[in-house]
This record gives sequence, structure tokens and C-alpha cells, in this order.
Amino acid sequence: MNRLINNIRSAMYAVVSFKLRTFFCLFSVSLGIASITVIVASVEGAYQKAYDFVEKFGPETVLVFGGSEEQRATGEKMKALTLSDIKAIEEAFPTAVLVVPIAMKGGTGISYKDVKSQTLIIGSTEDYSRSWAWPVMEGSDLSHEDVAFGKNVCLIGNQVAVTLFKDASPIGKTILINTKIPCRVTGVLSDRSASQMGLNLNDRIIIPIGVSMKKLMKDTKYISAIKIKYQTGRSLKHWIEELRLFLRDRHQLKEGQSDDFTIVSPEEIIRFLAALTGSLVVSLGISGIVSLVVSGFVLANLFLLSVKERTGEIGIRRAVGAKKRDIFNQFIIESSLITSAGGVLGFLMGYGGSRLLASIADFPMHFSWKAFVIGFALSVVTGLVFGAAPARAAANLSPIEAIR
Amino acid sequence: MGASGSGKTTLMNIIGCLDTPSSGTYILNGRDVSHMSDDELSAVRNETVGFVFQSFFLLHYASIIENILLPTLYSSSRTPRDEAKDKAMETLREVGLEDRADFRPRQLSGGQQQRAAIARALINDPDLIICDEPTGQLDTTTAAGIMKIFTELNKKGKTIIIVTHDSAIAAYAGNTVHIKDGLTDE
Repeated sequence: MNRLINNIRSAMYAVVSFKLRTFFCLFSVSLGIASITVIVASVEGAYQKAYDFVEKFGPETVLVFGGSEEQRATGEKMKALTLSDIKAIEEAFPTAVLVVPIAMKGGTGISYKDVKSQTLIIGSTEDYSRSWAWPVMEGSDLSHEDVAFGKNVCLIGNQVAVTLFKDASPIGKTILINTKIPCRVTGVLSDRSASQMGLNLNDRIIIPIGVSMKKLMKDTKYISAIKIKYQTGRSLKHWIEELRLFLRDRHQLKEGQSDDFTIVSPEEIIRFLAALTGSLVVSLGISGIVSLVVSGFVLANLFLLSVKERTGEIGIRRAVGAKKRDIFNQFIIESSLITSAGGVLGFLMGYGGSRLLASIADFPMHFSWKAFVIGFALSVVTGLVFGAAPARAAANLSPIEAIR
Repeated sequence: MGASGSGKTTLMNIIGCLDTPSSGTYILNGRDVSHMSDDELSAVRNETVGFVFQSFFLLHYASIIENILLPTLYSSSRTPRDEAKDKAMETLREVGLEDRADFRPRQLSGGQQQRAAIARALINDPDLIICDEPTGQLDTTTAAGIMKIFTELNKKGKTIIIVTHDSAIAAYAGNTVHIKDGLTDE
């Protein structure tokens, strides 16, 4: 142990003394580690974001849209889901705790006194906030009566509250939707700060479904989507398949015909996000590993040169009693000391760089001890792997040759 | 004594336990060292042999005191570092370099560097000191100073083996062995 401490002491002395070698190795390793840190942080960030989303979406819920996946992709609006579907689902699936209709109309003009704006209007029921696990922070939620009697009331998103009312309380005030539908504000939804896919979730107004369908959309049959919340227990996959068959049957789709609706589940959202970040991770990952390997070769090269240059030193150390192991230890400790310092430096560089990246583009980054540990471990491994050959070369130098 | 290529260095390597003989036995302090492993030879060198070379072999990036402590880094005895440092200062005093402990080798003259190397050879109290052309890079006055140190050490009981081809240096020795074509003749 004493001997190993002395090896470490010798290594530290050399690391500090051979400054140019230390500088180049440190720099090249830290660049490699920086890129790997960023990759780990962005992977973690993406998953964090996905889980956040699922949390907000509700882990036991699905969202059914009208129109097939292909039709939705082309932006074609599909009228397929109706209010009677809601009733039928409620009756057929007692395990569906909440079945909530959603009728949307984006870019609808709203005003309060002379403040005008545009927002997304959602017709739904008193269960809307519950189905999205989205509590009302001020005032009260829509009531059963509000929805059943089609009262002119609304829940507003945080963003709408700020736009129309600034600091004043919006509760009890009446806003105008689409210039002619007056609605009294009963409550304000709590802040959902995270924007999803460039959409500000706080920018919306919820009104009773009857009001939106009759007075705003002028369409009393079709709705945009259905949000369903199931009892916990059975796997969601199972519910989704049952629901799909049920809706196909109701919509009288023949075999071979594609669904005229799309069921979105939290798993699907995670899969989508994973696919999105996956390709990025692969390309970044390859470049990160490549730069780390290159830095390893730089290190090995500089250390081999160093061993040549320090032949005399190795010779005298051997002459005064150093064993092969002592020489090997000293050189491998030198290389791992440099790379682990490079690891710490690289983590800091990666942290700074991705903070910069996050401020330029909305790119999810999540730094944790995990990113640090992975980066640090890789840097130590780099030092051990690429320092091994030079250290072995140093240890195997014949003392007789070395002190000639 | 002997001309270059005569086998002096090979003999010195064997005596200094840097090499093992291809035939025959070498008994050092009652131990047969001729068939020892590399690690065992290292330990023997550390405890019983001190080396002084023509070109000093001091680590240029380390201070004089660090250079002198070098053999203690590989000792099996667990001497505390402070104690080893005191010992190093003591040997520095013996060679007259006590005020140069924190200098770098390059800040010292050739004679001073060789005296530092002698201090390094002495730190582990070896029985044997092997010197390969110790005055080869020094002028005669400096060389005389170095030889005076060796003479005193010899008087204190150290066995000193000097390899040289210079008869003036050989004259300091009490016993001279001539080597020619690998053979000795007294």
C-alpha cells in the first residue's frame, strides 16, 4: 500500500511536470467526454420529457381522434366520432371511469372589454380537468348543471387569463367568444408550463360541449376526440384493442377497411418521442465515441513518446529498486489521472455547452449524477485502456539498456 | 580498470544485480543472487546496492531532495516520509549540498550534481556502492573532490567499486582489477 502511494506520488509529480503532454491529453479527452455528457443528458432529457408528458396525459388514459393516422397526417379533418359513440362506450365499458367528449376549434377570436386575442376553444364536460389530471387553481370547475343545461360559462387557461385580465381576477367576469357568445369565467386552470410540440397548453378555453357544438361549431353531431380514463389494473393494451374492435363495429367498417379513428396511448407517445430522439442519439453517440477513441490514441501516442524520452528516468528508477510493476503502475496512474481530470473538465464543458444549446433551441436536457458518473467512468477507462500499452512498454524496458 | 569493450560494464551489471550471469554463481552478502527473479533482484538492489553513473541520471523535473528520496519510494520498510526526509537531509550534509535541497539538478554544477547522485546512492544505507566512470564528465579538480568523498565513505566501511579507464582515478583504490577481453588479471 505504501508502495502504491509512492507510485501515485511519482505519477502526480510527472503529471504536473510534463505540462505540454498533460495539456494535450487533457484537452483531447475532455472534448470526447463533453460530447458524451451531452448525449447522456439529452437522452435523459428526452425520457424525462416523455414521462412528464405521460404524467400529464394520464397513464391510464387514451385519446381517440376522428380520422385514420394517414388522414390525420395530411391534415384532413375527419368527421367520424359522434356524441352517440360516447354513450355507447359508457354503456359497453363499465371499467371506463371517465368518457369525455372533446370538440375543438382553434384560432377562435376572444375578447374582454377592448382586449382581443385568439385561442383554442374546447367543448367538453365537467370531467375535462379530471381526465387530464389538470386541477383548477382559481375559482371553480365546470359543474354538471353547467354542462347539462348548456350554460354560457367557461374555464380558462392560465395564458388566456394573463392575456385578457393581466393581474386582475377573471372569476365571474364575462368574455366574448367569436364576438357573439358571452361566457362567464368560473375558473382558471393551473399552469402547465411545459409546452408540447410547440403548443402552449395554457392557451385554451373550455366551455360546455353543448354550447360549443350548437353556437360555435354549428355541428351537433360530430366531435373531434374522446378522452377515456380506465380503472387501474388491467393492461392498457388490452383496453385499446377492445375499444378498437368496438368502434370498428359501431362505424360498420368492413374487413380490410382501415380505422376511421386513431387511438393514442401514453406508450405510443413515448415510442414516438423515443424514435424522434433515437436517430439523434445514434449519430451523436457515434461521434462522441469516435472522439473519445481518437483522444485515446492521442494519449497513447504522447505517452509512448514520453516513455522514449524518459528512458533514463525509468532506468534509474529500476536501478534503485523499482520493480516492473512499480513502473507500470506509475505510468498507468499518470494516464488515468490525466483522463479523469479530463473527464471532470469535459463534464463541465458539456454542461456549459448544452445550457447554451438549450437556450438557443428548445432541446430537452437533463443533467444528473448519471451523466457525470458515465462520463467520469468512461474517462477513467480511456486512461486505463490507452495508457496500458505505453505503461507496459515502460515496465519492460531493460534497466541495463535504459541507463547506458 | 580496462579499455572500452573489455567487459567492465557487464561485470558491473552483474555485481550491481542489474543482470544475472549466464554461468557461474554470484554470492552477495551470503545470498546467491545469480538465479533470482527480476522482482527479487530489484529488492536486493534497493537494499544493498547504490549506483553512481557518469551522467548522474537525476530526474530533471524533480528537486534535489526528491531525487535523493527516489530509492526510499521502492523500499519494503515502511519508513515514514518525514523520517526519510530527515535522512535525505543528513546524506545531503555528508556530501556538502544541504543548502541545495530545493534546487533543480540543472541549477547545479556537474560536481554538485554528482554529489547529489552520491547522496541518492547512500540514502538506503547500502553495503555496496558501484560507480561507473563517476568522474567522466568532470574536470580534474572537481573529480578530486568526488574521489575524496568516496575515500571517506570507504573509511567508514562502505565497499566501493569504481569502474574506470583512468589510472589517476584507479590510484585512489586500495585494490585494482584489470579486465581485458572479458578476463581479469590482478
